[in-house]
Amino acid sequence: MGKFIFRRLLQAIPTLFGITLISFLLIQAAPGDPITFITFNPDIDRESTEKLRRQLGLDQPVLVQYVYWLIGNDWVHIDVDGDGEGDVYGTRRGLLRGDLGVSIQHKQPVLDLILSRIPMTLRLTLTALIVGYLVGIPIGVYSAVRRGSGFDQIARVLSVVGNALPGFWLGLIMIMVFAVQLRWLPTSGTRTLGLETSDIFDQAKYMIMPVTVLALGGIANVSRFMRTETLEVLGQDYVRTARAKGLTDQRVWWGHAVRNALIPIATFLGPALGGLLAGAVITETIFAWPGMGRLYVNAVFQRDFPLIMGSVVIGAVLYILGLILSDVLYAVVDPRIRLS
Amino acid sequence: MQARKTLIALLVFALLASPVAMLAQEEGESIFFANLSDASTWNPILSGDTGSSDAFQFLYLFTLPLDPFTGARSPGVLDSWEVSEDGLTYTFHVREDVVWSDGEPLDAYDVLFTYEATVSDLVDTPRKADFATVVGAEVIDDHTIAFTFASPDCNALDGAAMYVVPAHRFAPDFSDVMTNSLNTEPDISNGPYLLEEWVPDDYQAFTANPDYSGGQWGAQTPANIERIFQRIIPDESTITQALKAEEIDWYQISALQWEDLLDTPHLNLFESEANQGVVFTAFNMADPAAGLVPGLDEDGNPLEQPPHPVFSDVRVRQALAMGWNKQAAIDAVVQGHGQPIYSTIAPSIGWAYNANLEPLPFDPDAAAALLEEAGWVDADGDGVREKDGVPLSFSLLTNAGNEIRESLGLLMQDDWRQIGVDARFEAIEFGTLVTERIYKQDYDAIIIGFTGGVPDPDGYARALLSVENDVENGFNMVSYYNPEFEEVLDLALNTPGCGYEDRAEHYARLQEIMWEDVPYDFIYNPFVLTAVHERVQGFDPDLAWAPRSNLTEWAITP
Repeated sequence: MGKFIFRRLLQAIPTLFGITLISFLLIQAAPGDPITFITFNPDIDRESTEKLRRQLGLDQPVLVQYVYWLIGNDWVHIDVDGDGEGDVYGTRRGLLRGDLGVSIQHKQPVLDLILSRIPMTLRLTLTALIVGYLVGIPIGVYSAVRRGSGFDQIARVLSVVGNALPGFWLGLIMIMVFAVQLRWLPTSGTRTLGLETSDIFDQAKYMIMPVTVLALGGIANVSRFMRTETLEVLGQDYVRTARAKGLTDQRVWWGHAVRNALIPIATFLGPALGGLLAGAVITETIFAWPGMGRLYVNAVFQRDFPLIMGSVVIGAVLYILGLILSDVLYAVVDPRIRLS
Repeated sequence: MQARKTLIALLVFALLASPVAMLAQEEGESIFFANLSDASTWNPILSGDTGSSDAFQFLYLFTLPLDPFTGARSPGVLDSWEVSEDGLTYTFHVREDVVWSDGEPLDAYDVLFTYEATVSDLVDTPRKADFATVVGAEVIDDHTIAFTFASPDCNALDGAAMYVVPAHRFAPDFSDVMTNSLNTEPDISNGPYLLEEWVPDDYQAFTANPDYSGGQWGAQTPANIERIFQRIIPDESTITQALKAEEIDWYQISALQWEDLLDTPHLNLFESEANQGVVFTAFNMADPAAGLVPGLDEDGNPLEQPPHPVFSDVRVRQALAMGWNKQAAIDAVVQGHGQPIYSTIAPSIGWAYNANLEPLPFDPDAAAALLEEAGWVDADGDGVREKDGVPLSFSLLTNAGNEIRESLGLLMQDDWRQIGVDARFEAIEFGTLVTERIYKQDYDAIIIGFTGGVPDPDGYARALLSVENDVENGFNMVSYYNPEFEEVLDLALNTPGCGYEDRAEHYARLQEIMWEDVPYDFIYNPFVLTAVHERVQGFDPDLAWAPRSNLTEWAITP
């Protein structure tokens, strides 16, 4: 197993570089650069704009910019005033020396920005993932064993609805009902401001609506998938054998069938874990949740190249790890599969 | 089983939550603001975004703040000044009673440092443009500083306008401006409040600065209201709901929110015209197919522009301006919260506005007549006019996601179709619109707008219409050139004495030229709309150009 993981990690290195190069070229191919947005203002003169562009290295060819991003530009003499002579040295050390650069928009190290958003992002997405599985699996199994029953019909309709409802609409409706009309929950935010201390109950009530909106799609998917898998397993010989031995329905379903039906679900989990840090931009926006999704999407709209590239690197690493994890999980839950 | 437990847990949560929610806010001590975007940095030298400048007003005093009644530059940290005979050097006196919250007095060296750091090669910031007109600055004594400007024009004071930073907290060689801890954790202030806590993209919490020296307005020290919470809510619909749920006390709303909040009993809504913003349609007078031709050659002589097949004829531009119903559009799209305009100068800049002119009326018959006079007739009866076999058809763009401009585009397109004009309307992403279309002048017509900035008639007029800005990345996106316009524009900016009445004469003529030439179809000037919770005392709608300038006098009634 250790050897397998090690080999997969080695294979991931060229993949990672490919991802960064392609992303870098794609971002640069999009119209506009970060300067466009902070200077779309009649009060800003062109000379200042050009100076800023030279300082940030945005006047350089794309591949040169990529090299700077990889290995830094502290060995480059930057010509700030455009007279052909270098004025100051660059300050970036580059990805290979552990520097993800400085965000153009925030003027802060990209890594700090991303790390600062991780706790709140995980609080939202991990909770939603757990709720999605905890609610989705039993619904799916119960739908399968009571196939065709009223519960099954309702669960199936709701799973389609749950998948089809746009998050921004549902979020807004929930805010109108639970925050404005009933005043049970706060509209948005993460904690009550102005309280001396904000305890777990206070913070939990800020999570109810965003987690519900976010978990709904998960519940719908997991329950539908679980239903199909369970149905397949229930038709197999060993289940009949278990029944023939006189086991109770409960034992057959939860002890024997579910374990096997869970195998494909495990493969979902790896990529889902990788996606946890991507955040959930629509839910975060509606509920004013300070998560990663807003940080990324803003960076894209503002063409904040260093921040976009930093997100790409982190996202790619997590995704690759997620895929490896899902292979490992597969072997763990299914003894027939060997990693080699 | 599992499902039941989880559902029960969720229900218990909801029940627990309900009584707590009612106690959400401690009454009387705090005020709650909201903003769509967070401060990207707390260093005024580095910021280029509205989220930051909006937050700075609580921490930092401005050198030459806007007069809340007129919008003109007025004394602040620089509280008086003398102008040299040649009009190029301004000698400012720095207020002597301003003290940083760490006990250091604010002096002329802080002002000098702020200027020098901003223009330093070690510092990358869009703020450099603020000092584009400054040739140099020199400290005369601890509380006197002289700025020398490149030209003695009437907006020279803009070159000395800044939030002052504490020089004693920075390395004197500017080497740590980009990385100083004050950029993310400002533990110092010379303004009415101190930053207590900042959770990026979530909220900013401020407490009253006990050592505040007072400002030009809002002399009350320290501030009445002990704490400010500024919440970052990136979605306008959520802010609307938060106002309704009494979570936010004061917010400048959009016209789209007004209707929604009108019947909310605990909110008072105010409308003010103190905004110089303009929304307009740019008619490209140069043929985009011929590529961008700059307005001037290298020696400064005007260059002939390849004429646009449709918009190079002033009669067509006039016909299009008269061919759609602007007032109806303003009523429908922004519920009347704006006023029609005919130039870059909005009626809100009262001293400069030429009230003798009116926007061209909505008159489809006159518009049709003008088009016919210009040679555009519908000979083949397909509903679209043509001239020399070329149909009167062009693309009309705006930035996607701006609901107001998208609605305006559809209304324009509909009305123009009635007079035989085919506008192909499309909303595209903002970045693409700006860099590929506007900056490269590669388009037929674009609905766009400007907002904010120092309310002065020179800014927008010069940016949008002066020939020097008819270049790639310039704002004269329509390739307008009129020698008289250039002359009057400069006369108005360099009027001896800079008296409003003297300058206004030139601006009156400037507006006549814009009215006649229709280089843009100017649409409307949006009003400023504010929603205020009834528990807030002291908000004064008359302080329109700087609405929270008397914030220290505000109070909360329990």
